[in-house]
Amino acid sequence: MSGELRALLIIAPIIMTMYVLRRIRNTKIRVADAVFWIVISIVLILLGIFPWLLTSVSHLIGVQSPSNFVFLVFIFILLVKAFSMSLQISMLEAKLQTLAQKLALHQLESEDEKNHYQPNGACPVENDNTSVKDAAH
Amino acid sequence: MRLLVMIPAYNEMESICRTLSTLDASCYDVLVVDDGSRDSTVEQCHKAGFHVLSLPVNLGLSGAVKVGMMYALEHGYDAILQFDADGQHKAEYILPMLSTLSHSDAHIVIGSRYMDGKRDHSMRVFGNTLICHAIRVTTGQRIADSTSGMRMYSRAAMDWFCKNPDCTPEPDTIAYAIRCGGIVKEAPVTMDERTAGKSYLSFSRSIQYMFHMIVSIYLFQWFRKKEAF
Repeated sequence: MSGELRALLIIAPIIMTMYVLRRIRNTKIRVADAVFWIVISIVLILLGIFPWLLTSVSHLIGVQSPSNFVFLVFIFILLVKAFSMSLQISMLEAKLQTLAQKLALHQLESEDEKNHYQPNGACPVENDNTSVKDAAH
Repeated sequence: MRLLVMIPAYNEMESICRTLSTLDASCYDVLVVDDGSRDSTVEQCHKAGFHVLSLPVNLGLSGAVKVGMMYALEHGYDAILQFDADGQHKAEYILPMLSTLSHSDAHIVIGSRYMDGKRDHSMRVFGNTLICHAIRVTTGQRIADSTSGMRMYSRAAMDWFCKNPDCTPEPDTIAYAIRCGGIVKEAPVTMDERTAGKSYLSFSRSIQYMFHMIVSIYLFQWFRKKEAF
């Protein structure tokens, strides 16, 4: 592994860690969600400091260049992360939808109570009758 | 049968009044579901004396339809009709559709433009044919106009719809409903071209929509848990 890649593997995660920690300080991200990013940067820093970790594993698996191995592993990790975030977004959307719906129904109910709203109760078609009546009974 | 005509509306101030004026409020109740509109849609409906359910944020069509169903379930309606705010649906077909629903054991009645088999040649019809084919292959039933937005749901169908967070008022839900044992019928209707506003489906949106429907009907269908009616 080249010296430049090593330097990059050390410097970039340090900047990332600082950024994540600052966001935690500003309460822009929950600690629980930040753990993933901190762990990733620690792993990257370790790889930069001890490159033999990387070279031995990539030789073991049979990947020619250690940098390709880094790409492979991290693309996979990021894919998994992206999918889990997609799941979370779906769940959040479902929850948001339920909240908005409950709120709207509740609001209409109190409004109706105030305005004494009466549905017209029309029943134009009987359940088991073939004639179509045109008005309320 | 008590019917609720539900009109999902999102920034429809140009057409909503005209659409509302075509409805016969003595035969059914009308509920406008305002999907977080930012124009004067709500004020205009109130001024015309119509009942409006206002969502605090824009949820999209399926969220609006679902909240209308929740309202209908809560207030004891036997059926709900989804009716477009833009004026393309015609009120004269509402009661015939209700008759179809009440005189059969159908859960969903679709207001269908192509029941007589006549189709013109446009992109929309082509897309419709593709989806029609997909539904026939996967369910065995021929639905001539699955993309029609004029649909009536029985109480059981509303209940089923609200229990499934994945149900959208789209053709893939029709296929899913049939596979879950739902009975889907069609009733003939005609529709007007859009009188106001821009269609929600632009060209790229249409392609995306078609792709979504095809994948959903041919593929996801087999992995969805069957929820009985």
